[in-house]
Amino acid sequence: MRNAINRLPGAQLVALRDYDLQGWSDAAAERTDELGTAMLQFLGRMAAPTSIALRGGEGEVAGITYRVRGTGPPLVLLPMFLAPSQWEPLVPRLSEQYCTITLGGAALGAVAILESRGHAVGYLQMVRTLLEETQLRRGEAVLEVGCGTGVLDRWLARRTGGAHPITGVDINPYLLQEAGALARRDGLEGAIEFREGNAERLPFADSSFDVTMSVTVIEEADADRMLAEMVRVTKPEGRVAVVARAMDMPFLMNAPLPTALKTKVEAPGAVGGVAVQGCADASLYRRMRRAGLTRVKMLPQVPAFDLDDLTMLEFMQDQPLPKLSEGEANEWHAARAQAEAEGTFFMTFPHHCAVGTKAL
Amino acid sequence: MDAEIALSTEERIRQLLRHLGLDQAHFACRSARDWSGLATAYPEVVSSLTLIGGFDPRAVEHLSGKLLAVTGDRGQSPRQCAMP
Repeated sequence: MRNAINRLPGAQLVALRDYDLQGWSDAAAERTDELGTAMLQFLGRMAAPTSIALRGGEGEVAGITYRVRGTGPPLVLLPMFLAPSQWEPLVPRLSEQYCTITLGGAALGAVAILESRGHAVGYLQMVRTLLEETQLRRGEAVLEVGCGTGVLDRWLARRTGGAHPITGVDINPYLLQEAGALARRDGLEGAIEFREGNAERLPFADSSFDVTMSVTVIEEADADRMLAEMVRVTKPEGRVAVVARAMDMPFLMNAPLPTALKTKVEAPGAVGGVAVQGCADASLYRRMRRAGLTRVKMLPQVPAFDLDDLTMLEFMQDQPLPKLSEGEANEWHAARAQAEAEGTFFMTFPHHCAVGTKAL
Repeated sequence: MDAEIALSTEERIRQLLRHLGLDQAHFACRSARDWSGLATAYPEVVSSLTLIGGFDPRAVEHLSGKLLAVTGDRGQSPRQCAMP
């Protein structure tokens, strides 16, 4: 980051002390004072836009939801990616001096990316493979741990025509609010129950579900505690299905990149992050066995994303860019443009997937 | 799915700003997808840009005097943002 800032005269860098900023980090909640002070000092030095006295309130324009608080120069707060609290812990302080306008909805932030990913053909093929391995029977109750925007719950509800009680649990109230709105949009609000809860302390009784699944959440939690909880809430003979991003497998960017650059862009871990206690590698399979699951079927999958999945594709392809030199970035852009012109551009994203059975 | 996203993110934000009667505003953002189009197509509406997490500096060279970049001081090298 400091190298990046050196390219930008006049820009200011603030590094939150003793802090590892990941996509799911709740920075406004965990560093409220430090972040608030840095922002207010910075904004105070900037030429202020014209102050406005908007009436507080909420609304939606062009697919973006907004909420207005405070008066003063306008400060637009776009989504804080996967942060559970988003900007909320900071909003009261910021709104003392600024008219804060907090944005949300399915067109912005992590919601847009999760929805794009969850509609991609390759990604749904991976989930379909996983669910087929669970041998889901009509009427069985399904829990998704870390459901996010509920995109897979909506897909399952549509696919099975309401044959299963479906519950989605997530730690993130912002994503759950968006999940509820999207389910209402699709007329599926009665088919899915969304609950707020922590994957490491699931708010359900023992043996509540026939199939418990989780897709790319175990990277961000204490993996072993989460697996233990998933096993606990699953009925005996029920199935536990887990997908983890594979940071130990290479990506494929289908573009004519020079060999050295291709190696760099496609290196394992080039996209994504993992929490200290999280799991984003093949240890998933051993962990599932250790959690007491039997008949663990191991199914690593490599879904592809192409221009039909543009939001997800752009999110993936942009991640290695900050690490490239100017020359490398130019080569990268040229190779991508060539592949796009040929209609052959896609990227793959490796995942570890497994389904195990809870013993009687 | 992405056929639904007929309107670009920057056009959506522009429509919102017009609806609220705003010519300019401070912006604070996390996802490059949310801010990069606006910063490129409509830099005149950006009074300042606070970016949380890593980003590609080439996208904001023209706004460098109005930029606050916030990151953490440990962990992996900053990325655009971690995956969902």
